[in-house]
Amino acid sequence: MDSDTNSIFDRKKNRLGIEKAMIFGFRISTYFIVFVFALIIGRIVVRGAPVLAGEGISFLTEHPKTLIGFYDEYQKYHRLTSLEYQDYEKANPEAVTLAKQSANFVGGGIGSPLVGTIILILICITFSMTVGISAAVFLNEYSKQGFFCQLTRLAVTSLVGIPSIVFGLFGLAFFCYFFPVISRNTPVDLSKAWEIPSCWYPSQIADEGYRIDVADHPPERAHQKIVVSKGEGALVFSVFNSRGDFVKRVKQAEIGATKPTWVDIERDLATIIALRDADGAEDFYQNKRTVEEENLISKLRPLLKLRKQLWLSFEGWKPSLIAAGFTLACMVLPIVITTCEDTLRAVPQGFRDASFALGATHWQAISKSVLPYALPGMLISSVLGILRVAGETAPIMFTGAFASGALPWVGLKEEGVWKIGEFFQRECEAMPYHIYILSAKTPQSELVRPMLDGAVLVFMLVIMAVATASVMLRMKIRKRMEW
Amino acid sequence: MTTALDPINPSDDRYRSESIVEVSNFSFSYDLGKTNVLKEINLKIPKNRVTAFIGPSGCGKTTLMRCFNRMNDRIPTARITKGSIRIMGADINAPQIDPVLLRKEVGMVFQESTSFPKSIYDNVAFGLRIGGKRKKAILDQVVEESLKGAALWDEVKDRLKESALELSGGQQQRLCIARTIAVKPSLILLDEPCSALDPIATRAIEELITGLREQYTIVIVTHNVQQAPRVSDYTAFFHVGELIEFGMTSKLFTNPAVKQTEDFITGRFG
Amino acid sequence: MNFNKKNGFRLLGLGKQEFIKYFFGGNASLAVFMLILICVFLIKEGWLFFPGHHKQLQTYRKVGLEYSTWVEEAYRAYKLGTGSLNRAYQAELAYPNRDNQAKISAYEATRMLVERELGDSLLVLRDAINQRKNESDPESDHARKLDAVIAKLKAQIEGERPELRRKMNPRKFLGIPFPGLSQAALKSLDLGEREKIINAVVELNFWEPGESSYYKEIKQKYDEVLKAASVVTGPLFNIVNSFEVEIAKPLEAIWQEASVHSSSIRDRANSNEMVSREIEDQISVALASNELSVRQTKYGAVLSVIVGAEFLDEYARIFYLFRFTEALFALKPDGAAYDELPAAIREKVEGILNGITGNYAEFVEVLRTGGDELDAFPKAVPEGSMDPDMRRMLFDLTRIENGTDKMIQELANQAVNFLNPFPFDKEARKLYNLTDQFNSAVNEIKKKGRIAMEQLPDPGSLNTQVARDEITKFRIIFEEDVKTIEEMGKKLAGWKFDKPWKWSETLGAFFLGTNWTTNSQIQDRYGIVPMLTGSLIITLIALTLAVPIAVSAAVYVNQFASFEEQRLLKPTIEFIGAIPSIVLGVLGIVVVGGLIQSASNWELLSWLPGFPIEARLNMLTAGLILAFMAIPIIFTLAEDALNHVPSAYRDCAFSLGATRFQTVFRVILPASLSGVIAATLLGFGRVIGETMVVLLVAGNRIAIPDFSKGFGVITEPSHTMTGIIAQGLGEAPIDSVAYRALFMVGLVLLLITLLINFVSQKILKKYYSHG
Repeated sequence: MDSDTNSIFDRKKNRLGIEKAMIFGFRISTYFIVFVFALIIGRIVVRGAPVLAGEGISFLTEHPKTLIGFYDEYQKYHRLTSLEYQDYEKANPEAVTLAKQSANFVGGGIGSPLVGTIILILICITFSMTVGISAAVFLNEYSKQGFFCQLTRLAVTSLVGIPSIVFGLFGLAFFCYFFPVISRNTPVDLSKAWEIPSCWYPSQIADEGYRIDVADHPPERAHQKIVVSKGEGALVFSVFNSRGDFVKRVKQAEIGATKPTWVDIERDLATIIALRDADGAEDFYQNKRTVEEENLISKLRPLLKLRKQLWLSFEGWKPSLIAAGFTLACMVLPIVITTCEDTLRAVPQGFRDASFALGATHWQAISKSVLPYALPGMLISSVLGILRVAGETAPIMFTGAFASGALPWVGLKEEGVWKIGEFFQRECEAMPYHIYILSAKTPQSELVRPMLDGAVLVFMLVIMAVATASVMLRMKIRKRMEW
Repeated sequence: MTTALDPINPSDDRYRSESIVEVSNFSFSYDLGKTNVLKEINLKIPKNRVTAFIGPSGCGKTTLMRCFNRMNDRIPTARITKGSIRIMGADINAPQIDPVLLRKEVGMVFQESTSFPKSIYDNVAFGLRIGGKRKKAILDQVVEESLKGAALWDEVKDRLKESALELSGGQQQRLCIARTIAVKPSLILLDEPCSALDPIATRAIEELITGLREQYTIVIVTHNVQQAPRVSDYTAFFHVGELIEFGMTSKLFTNPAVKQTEDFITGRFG
Repeated sequence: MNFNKKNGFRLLGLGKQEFIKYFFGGNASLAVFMLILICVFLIKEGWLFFPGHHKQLQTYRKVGLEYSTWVEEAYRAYKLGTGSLNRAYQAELAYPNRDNQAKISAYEATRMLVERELGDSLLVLRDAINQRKNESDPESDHARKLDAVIAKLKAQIEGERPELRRKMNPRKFLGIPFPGLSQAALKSLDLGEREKIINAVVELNFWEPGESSYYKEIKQKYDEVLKAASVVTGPLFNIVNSFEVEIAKPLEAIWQEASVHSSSIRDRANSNEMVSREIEDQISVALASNELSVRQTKYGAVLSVIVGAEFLDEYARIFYLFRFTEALFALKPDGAAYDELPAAIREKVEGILNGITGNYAEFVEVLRTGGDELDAFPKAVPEGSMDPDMRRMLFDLTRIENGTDKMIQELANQAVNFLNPFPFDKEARKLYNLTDQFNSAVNEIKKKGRIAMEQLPDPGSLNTQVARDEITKFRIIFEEDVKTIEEMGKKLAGWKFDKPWKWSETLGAFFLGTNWTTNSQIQDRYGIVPMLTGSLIITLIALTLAVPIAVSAAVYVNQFASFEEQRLLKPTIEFIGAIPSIVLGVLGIVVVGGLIQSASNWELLSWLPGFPIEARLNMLTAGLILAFMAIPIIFTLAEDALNHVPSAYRDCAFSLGATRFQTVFRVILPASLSGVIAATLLGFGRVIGETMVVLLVAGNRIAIPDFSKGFGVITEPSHTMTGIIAQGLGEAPIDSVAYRALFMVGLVLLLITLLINFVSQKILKKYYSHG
């Protein structure tokens, strides 16, 4: 082989060196991404795992609670929920509490956000799968490559690119405040509300010891009537103008952010009756009312029965579970359609041809020789697609997510009867929103951090599990689809 | 069957051409050596001649050709199980060989015309540019020469800056040949260059090949038994990974030494 | 055989097969329908923004707020110019005191270190001491417990001191953001000094900051040197003073006057409108209410006649009448209280109620003859038995007996006032007069400014470079400022309160407006430009970082990686796309922001534009996180595009002797370029539409970033289009102008993303159909 060493094809070291360096650069940037990813995961796990280990299963089952943190005289740090703190105070009336801080929704666990997220996803799946799979079947099996088909595809690809916050706006405008519903509510004609007795005006309530920030209501708005209520753990200001038209409801939510909602005058005024001290909302939902409250409610009822008959009103669903679920569904619909179409396309044309050749009708061909093979793949891949979108915060921020420590069905059982219809009208807490309100507070505070870290870890675990399952199943399905 | 090997008979070759490729005892496998798709091939390809590889599908003719410029390197499970290929005296599978330099000497044109989505000019100049030649004058000259060499110049000289994808299939294939000869390789491998073309375009390519034989050594793999005698000086007949017969085309087609060859060229199988 | 179609089940002329088809088709059309709905609803909620805002802006001009804003603008422009003079002065002032300043900085840095190290102990200690101070009974159990805590903590802190001293390595402080803190200054602190600092800090945290003796010592020294320095910089101070205060004074006064006057016009006009609306409301409520129908039949006719005739005097009377009868009615169903009234009175009341014909005289007569008995009326009604508001009304009404006419006259006069149009022209005259004052103030600025300018010290005579630069800058700026103010004067002269506010101005205020203020005392403004710039800059930062990394990763994975690597890397990077944005936002706010800020203080990185960073949350941080979010999208699409390049291209390039690298760069990448561009565009769409990360991390400052920093602009905090929607929507009352403005922003965002999507789909389609 001596001659080979001098052949004209011999390697020239120099050129390859530069090339190798550049390829190395590429490799570096690829692994840099993976490295950052690993750092993020590592950080989340390192911070979150001790919380999960410490709190155990109760972190998943308990609901968010107000937490009070303080040092006692032995410089031991206590983190107690408000109820526990009351007990502690009762037990040690002479106790020294130092550097006391408190924060809402950072104690207990993430039970209600998890439940809320699951409900939202279920609503979202039900709607988006029905529509998405049918649309995919139509596009792939029925439509000829005509104008309508192209238009639909254009719409689907356009919808994919629309920002989630725009979906949020759409959900608010359409589902919350426009969607026609059959109801007894009279959303606009509130001429009766003008007669709401003045004891519900701020001055009166202020006299009774409920703090109202006067600065919030400058003189030019003095003609407005503001009904203050304590609902769902926060003060709620319902504002009416002089005619009694509902102007807005402002929740003094945890983070200072407030949400406008459509007024359900009956429900809201009933909530006013629950003017109680801390955690009164829960009592209220459990129908524990004082005698005076009951009296007031019964007095107010005739005043509030505004309309007896059902009618179709374009008042929307208000921010509620169902509005949020549908907003999410709109967002995932294009994803479902595309994934389902991909799965359908993978079914060989021969299957259809063969059944047509055997004399099947169009629907028989689809239902007997396409859907059975495609359906499992469609279901799995679209469910996974949906679950990934369930991590979005922006679309549900205004349409149904609400900082709360209670499950959405608490208090639905009235006089022994479950009010199922009302269930969907409830707002609920959801994981991403919960994380958002925690991080929008002082996330550096030691009181907030454990809850935040734990919630982020659980959320990431769920999302990652879904993503892994999605990748693996896709591979499996693809393998099986190679007919 | 191996006895049927017909080494180059000096007396057959009136021009006594020296060989450019020497394949000796060459075996090749696509699956880490479990099964050989080429079995102990011995072959010398004469310089400045056109050699045709014929044989039924899957006989290994394209595989062998792709071994000449190590295009099989990219297949992770491909292995040379035995023997060697020497091109211009160098063992091309030796570790110190740079396949890139080898490929510059051994050009290849593929079955389907693969013009890059660039202009005609850029397509032809591509090989030169990556070789580091940038002077416009030189490039212009070589592009013109190559296009003329590929008999395409007259058709495209007014639209060199237009996209190559605008050309017809046959023109694109000639463009690929022009692109290959622009680098001035010693050996040009044509892998069924006409299989995707209509008869008229095929004819143009065949004429081109005939013209190119003066300057280049050409190896052409063809599926078309009639094409081999039209364009080639030598023909090698492969079957199931073995070289059955090799010799001057005129002899092989008129008087094959092996029964299998005869069966194939007369269309009894294949 | 018969191949004819069978007539099976049919409904509405459709067979079963067609039904199935249309069912599916209907669902498919939902996608189109939804896209249309989204556009329609954003427009539906948004389009009324312009009329609403237009009306607001008309009022803004009519009441003269526009005038006062202009004056303010002139004043601010002037102040901005003199700001550089002030900076020069401060620099000069600080010049001889470098040492002391450094020491104080070092002290502060040390204090932060100590606080960080002792952390909670100090916090607890402070709280315990405060509680101990407030303890009324010094011998109580609680107080003794507190004493024990304090003693224990003090001992603990003492114990940690040697450890702390060791940690007080000057180099460590460099990580702490502190302007003007040099390494030299830190080194200048010897160990003894540090010991003193620890003492001071511990003391400081025990009691009030001022009580620490060491702190006092430093402060005192500093003050002394300051005093000495002011002698040196005295002349400069005088000039600065004359520019900043004396020359600016008239301008400031005019601004104050204009703003006070215009706000008062606004408030008065508002309340006027509101009261007159209230009056009209009351009338219409009375007319419209079904519940009042009984009463309406009795005196409603009269009311409507009177309202129609606009006899306000009469109206006021009837209004009282109305309220009185209202009160009586409220009383009546109560039964008991009503029954207790003397029979005579009851009769009269019945008489009034039954016989009301709108005869005011008769009504007054009843009130008069009622006398004392009528007075007994409310007294007979025990508190709580009737609505308190109504009860109060009864009281009031029975009292007016004697002065009835007078009070009603007053009310009527008020009503006349309120129902008359507000005299804007009269009020605006005062503002017109201010224009002359403004012009004379401008002349004064010019005159006095020239004189003061001559007194400005020669830059060469100044000690610090900052001062030299600023003074030179000021000379140029001042001329520009005067020009700006003069222009403003011209604008003010042309100001007319009744000049109609043009529609183009409203459109401009939104699309070109640089100001977004809500809940403003003066006027809410909705200018989208700051949000748009913020969004674009953040997106550009993200893409500049993400595109090279993602594309080179795609090239690597697609072209160079081994099969095993590919199988590992591709899903991993796609995984990143599954991380919810809120999680990345949390990491940004908790980790990345602080990390980048402290990194920006390293001297090693100080050459980078915008470093060191002032705000922890800024566009750079947001851009970094968004880049990470965009990487998987761009990577996946770019990888797809690379995959789509025919493998023949690669073979071909190889056969021509191209190296792997040349093949990738000269053939494969160019061939897939449009795919990569489309990937970048889609990444752009995704990043600009991202909400949670920017909401949490971008800093949310509504202002156009300061581009004078050059590239350093990226370290400024900013707001974004998505962020303002998420932040503002919760606070905006439904159907208010602010609410609609947010929908307009959403519409702009939607159009941007639709456009980008459309273009990138076009590119992709062309690319894929080509190959």
